[in-house]
Amino acid sequence: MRLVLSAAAIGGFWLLGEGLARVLGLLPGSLWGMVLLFLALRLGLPEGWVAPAAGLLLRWMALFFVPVGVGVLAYGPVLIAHAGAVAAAVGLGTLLTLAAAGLVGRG
Amino acid sequence: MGWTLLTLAAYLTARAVYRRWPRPWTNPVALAVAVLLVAVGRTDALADYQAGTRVLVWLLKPAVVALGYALHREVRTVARHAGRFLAGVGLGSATSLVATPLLARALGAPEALQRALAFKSVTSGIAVDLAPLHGADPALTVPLVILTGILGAALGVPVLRALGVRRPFFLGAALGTASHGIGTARAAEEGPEALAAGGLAMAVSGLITGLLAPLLLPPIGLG
Repeated sequence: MRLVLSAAAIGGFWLLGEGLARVLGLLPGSLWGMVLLFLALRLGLPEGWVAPAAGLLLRWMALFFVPVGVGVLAYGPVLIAHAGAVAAAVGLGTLLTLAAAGLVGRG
Repeated sequence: MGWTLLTLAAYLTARAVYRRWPRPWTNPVALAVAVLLVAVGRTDALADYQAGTRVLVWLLKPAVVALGYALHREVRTVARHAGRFLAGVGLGSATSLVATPLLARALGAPEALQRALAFKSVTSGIAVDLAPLHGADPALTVPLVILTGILGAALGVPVLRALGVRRPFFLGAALGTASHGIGTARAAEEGPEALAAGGLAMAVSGLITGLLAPLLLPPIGLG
C-alpha cells in the first residue's frame, strides 16, 4: 500500500514536471519533476511519502535504459566509419571534463 | 513481453557477472546491451524489439524524477564544500558539452555524432530525455555515455591524482561529473564521502547540462 501511494506521489511530481516543461520548456518534464521533488523534500515533504517507490525505481534504473542502448544497432555503420574520431573525442573529452571538474578540488 | 523478459534476463545475468568481477569494463548495462545486440541481430528486428520493451523505457521517466529523492538524501554531504562542488560540476559539465563535439568535428565526425557526444557525460536516464530536445538521438547517445563512463572510471583516479586532487570528496565529484553512475561506482572505492559526492555530482551535472545546452550549443553551430 505504501508502495502504491509513493508511486502515485512520484507520478504526481512527474505530471507537474511535464506541465512545467510545457510552460517553460528548457528541460524535459522528468528533469523538472526531479527538481520539484527535490525542492518539496527540502521544504519538508516527509521522505516516507516517496521513499518506497523512489528506492525501487532508483535500484532498477539501469535496466530501464538497456533497450535504448540496443538501439545503437541502427548506428553500426556510422560508428565504425568514425571509430577513430569517436574514440579520440570521448577519450580527450573525458580527460578534459575530469580536469575541469577536478580543478577546484586540488590540494 | 518476450523481449522485455529477455532484456530482464540479460540484465540480471550481466549484473551477476559485475558483482563477481566489479570492473569498469564489466559494467552491467554494457554487457547486457552487447548480449542483446547479438540476440536482436538484424536492424529489421530492432523496431520489433523497441516496441516490445516500451514499458521498460517508459519507467525511466519516473526514475529520473526519483533522482530528486536521491539528491535530497545526499545534499547534506556537500554542504561544507557547496561552492567548490557547484563550480567543479558546472565547469566539468560545460567542458564536456562544448569540447567533446568540437573535438569530434575537428576529426571529421558527422553532425549526428557531434550532437550525441555533447551529452556523453550525462547519466543515461537523463540523457535519454535531454538529448532529443537538442537534436541528438538517444539510441546513439546512450552507448557513448556508457563508453564515457567506462573510460572515466578506468582513468579518472590516476588522472585526478596526477592533477593534485587527493581528497575523496573532490575525486568523487569529478568522477560523477565526467562519468556519471559508472564513475560513481568507481568513486565508491575511495570511501563513502566520494560515493555521496559522485552520486550528487551525477544528478547535478545532468541538470546543469540541461540548463547550459540551450546557451552553449547554438554558438558552436549545434543549436
